[in-house]
Amino acid sequence: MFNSRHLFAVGILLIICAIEPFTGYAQADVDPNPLTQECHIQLIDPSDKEPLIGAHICVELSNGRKVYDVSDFEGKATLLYENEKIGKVAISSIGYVTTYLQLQDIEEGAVIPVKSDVFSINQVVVTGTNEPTPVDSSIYKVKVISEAKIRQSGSVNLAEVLLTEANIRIRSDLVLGSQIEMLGMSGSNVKIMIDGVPVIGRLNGNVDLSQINMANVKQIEVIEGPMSVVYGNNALAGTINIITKKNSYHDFTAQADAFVESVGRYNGNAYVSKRVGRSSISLDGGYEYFRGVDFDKNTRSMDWKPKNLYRGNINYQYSNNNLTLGGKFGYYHDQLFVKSDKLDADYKVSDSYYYTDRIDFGLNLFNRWERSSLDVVAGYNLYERASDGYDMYLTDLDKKWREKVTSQEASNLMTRAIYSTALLPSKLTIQGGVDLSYETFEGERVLDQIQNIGDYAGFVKVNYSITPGFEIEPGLRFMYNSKYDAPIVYSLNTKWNMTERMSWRASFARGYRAPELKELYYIFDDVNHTIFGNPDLKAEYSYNISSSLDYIHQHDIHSWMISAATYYNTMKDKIDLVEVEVDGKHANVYYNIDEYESYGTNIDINYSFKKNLKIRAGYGLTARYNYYEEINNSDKFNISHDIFGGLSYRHSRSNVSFEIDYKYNGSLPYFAIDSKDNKLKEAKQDAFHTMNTSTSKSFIKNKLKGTLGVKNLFDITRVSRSIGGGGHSSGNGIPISYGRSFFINLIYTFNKL
Amino acid sequence: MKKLLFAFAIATMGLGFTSCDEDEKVTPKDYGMKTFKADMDYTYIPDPSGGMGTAVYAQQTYFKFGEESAIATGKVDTDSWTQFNIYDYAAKGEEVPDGYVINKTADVDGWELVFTNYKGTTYMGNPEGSPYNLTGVLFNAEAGITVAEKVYDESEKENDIAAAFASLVINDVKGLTYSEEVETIGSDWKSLDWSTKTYVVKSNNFYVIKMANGDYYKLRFLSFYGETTSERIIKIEYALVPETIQAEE
Repeated sequence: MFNSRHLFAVGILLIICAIEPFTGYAQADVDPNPLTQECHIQLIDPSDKEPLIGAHICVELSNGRKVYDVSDFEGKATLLYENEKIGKVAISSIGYVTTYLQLQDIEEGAVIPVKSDVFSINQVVVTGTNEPTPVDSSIYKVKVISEAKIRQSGSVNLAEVLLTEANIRIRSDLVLGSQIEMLGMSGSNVKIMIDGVPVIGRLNGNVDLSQINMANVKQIEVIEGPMSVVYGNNALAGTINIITKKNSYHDFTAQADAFVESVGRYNGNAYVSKRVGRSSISLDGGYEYFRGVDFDKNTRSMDWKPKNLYRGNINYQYSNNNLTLGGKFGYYHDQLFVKSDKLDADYKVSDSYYYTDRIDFGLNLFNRWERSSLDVVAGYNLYERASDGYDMYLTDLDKKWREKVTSQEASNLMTRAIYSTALLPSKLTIQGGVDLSYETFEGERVLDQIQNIGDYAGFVKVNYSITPGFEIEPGLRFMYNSKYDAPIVYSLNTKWNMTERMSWRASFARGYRAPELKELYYIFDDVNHTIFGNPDLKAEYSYNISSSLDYIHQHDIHSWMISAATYYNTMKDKIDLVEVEVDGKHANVYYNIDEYESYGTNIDINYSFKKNLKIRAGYGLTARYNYYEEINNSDKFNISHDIFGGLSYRHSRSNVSFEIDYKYNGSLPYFAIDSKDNKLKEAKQDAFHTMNTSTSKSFIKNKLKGTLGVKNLFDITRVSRSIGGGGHSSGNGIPISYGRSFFINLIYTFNKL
Repeated sequence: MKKLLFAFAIATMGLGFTSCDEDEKVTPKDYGMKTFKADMDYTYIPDPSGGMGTAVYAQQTYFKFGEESAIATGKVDTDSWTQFNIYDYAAKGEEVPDGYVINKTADVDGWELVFTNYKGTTYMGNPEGSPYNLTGVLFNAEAGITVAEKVYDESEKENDIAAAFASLVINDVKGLTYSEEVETIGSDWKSLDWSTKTYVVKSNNFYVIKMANGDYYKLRFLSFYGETTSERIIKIEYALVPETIQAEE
């Protein structure tokens, strides 16, 4: 009965069916009484009168029974029913607005127009909203990166996905991992969450984005600007929420994928999910091996370190009409191998392994009543980073293992509950919530070896529609923190649908970053160095003002979407080490001393021809505060320019998609001390190009999908940094990538309804 | 009786053979290659956030050329420790921290080199030099010692470097510029590989030590670690610089 032609459309339908409150019971495994009555329909795209191929039609009959079909090459489909012709019909397809109809309204042989949604503005998001909300209705400017886009780009982890995104830069530290910069602010100001649960384990303030695997991801929601009212700590520059796949739709579904990249990178993942009645249980796991890349064969050390990674998750979900309840357990382990150069004349070498382990427990609950809803997320996360290794002489290769040392152990117990109620439907909605977290941190040089921090917050947001097209949403968060004086955080968001085609968003918000336990309690005192944490630290806080304008226009076969946005951030009480004198000795102590500012603007133009061809182009300017402004009377900001663009083409008859993505990462000016003459000089990190391209095709009724692609077409491995007006370059520059690579990805999906 | 006398005569002859003239005693110069190790009694305290940790070098070792073992050692935080403060704040026009006194010598008889942690000058990121706690080798300028450095860069192969060092003769070292600056050997015979946080020894940096009596010693560093990298043991190779290299025996 089910003809799985369009895998991704299934994904979309999955969301729809999860959101749409169904009133009946789940379908049984064996169909005891097949439906006999048929209603034939044809789906067309009204803009070009072409048939809509491969759309998914979900019919829910009055007795709760669900039936499905997929439109054929002529856009035709058959709706099955029995006795009464009463029920609900949902029609969905990638790039189209999901259309809901009453079965009784559909005549035999009806031609149904389905409106296109070329730029996925009807895609549903959950970050920062009380209920799943389409992108263009959200009061926040949300960017959605879909599973299809992730797959097409051949990205294995989050860092790779974000490489060509606007307003984001990814920096690779070869040992500490991939770090993000967003809106000109560093990674410690970006909140990273998986299904609303913050990712812990920050190294020097940064979450390693290469540790977040993309195999089981439904979509990534990126929100720029502070969201501290709801999400608290770190949500200054932006929030990235990774939404994992959940099955509430298939009786049984399984997926296996294999990924090979020419640099010696292999990734395999498997996923199975079984639904029994209203419950479903899913298992997924994956393995990744990276051989490492070495540019200079004369040295023993490798430029890109070999890595081994495995992970697994088990997930349980229960859902009925109004209630969704679930729990998950996840495990992650990775191992990085760092080979040293020959250290001395005795041919000694010292190789190291770095291990990261993560254990995650999660609970989620969502309940809807007529006018209100409750959304609860709870998590208990554990993180450990350790290392060991061996020393050996290349003359005898006898390995002397070093003891395994745990450098960091952290845990976080958190829960966030949001209750939302519409006091006046579509006019006034109040959202109130609590956000509680309890963190522990263990490390050798932390005062008493273990420290913990409790953060208990309550927040409220009021959404008021002054006119049907203009809504305003003030928010306020109060916090009590067991270790430092927590700031009061507030925000004001507005959205104005000026015309049907144009909407305007503006926001003013305060965000904050709590001092890390290290900054509060680190202690070290010896003959060489004296570093103290400062228990009197306050949180860093920021103000953000941003505004954006979106214009959407569809005319015949042409569609346009133009977005322009601008933002300004100012950050106060930034924490930094300060040299002070303690008992006549020099010491370094953390203080709230610095300030930072950034601003930027960007414009993004999307054009689509007949839904199949999409072209995007954009420009972004980022200005970062220059700390040397007062010292040498230089400009207050260092400004960089980025250009990004892309093209995608999908041929629906042959099921072939082609995509190309490009980003010009403009040069980064900064100031540095020239080691030749000890003078502060203008320096520059060179610009570089990122370009990826891929082609994919689906086979066997979409069960098998293959993608072939090239990453880093320009083969950029490093960018140089020069000082003093292009004089001499310092070192080899900074690492960008392991170079051009080819990849192949095969995904096999098996579904049973 | 005769037998007794004979035995006595033999005994006295034996005595006569064994005794010799003290003035005739010659100690030939030893031009052979020798090694010396100085254990720095090192401990490392990691940074809990995964960054660079902190190092403690708790032992200093005094060395005299030709002596097989250390002539003295000092333990940090005890009376035996001598804090070497080489960096000269005043000369650089910088404010002198409270309690800081320049000290380039120790109350140890006959010392020529000291392997120690000291407050010295680093030129990293600043050509004028900045104060920093460094680990390396200082020499006793009061004993009339001066030092020159010679970098061998014709090959990176360890065997070539070793052969070049072994074949250094007086003519190779006479023309070098000798300095009285006690930090001439200092700490830059090693460099830190930031990505792996391990030190790499520059075994091709040759140092020539000119003694007060006109002798020259050549010295290079072989390693900075012990059996494992958790130990920091400075290992050097040195020899008296000969006029010519003798043919292989």
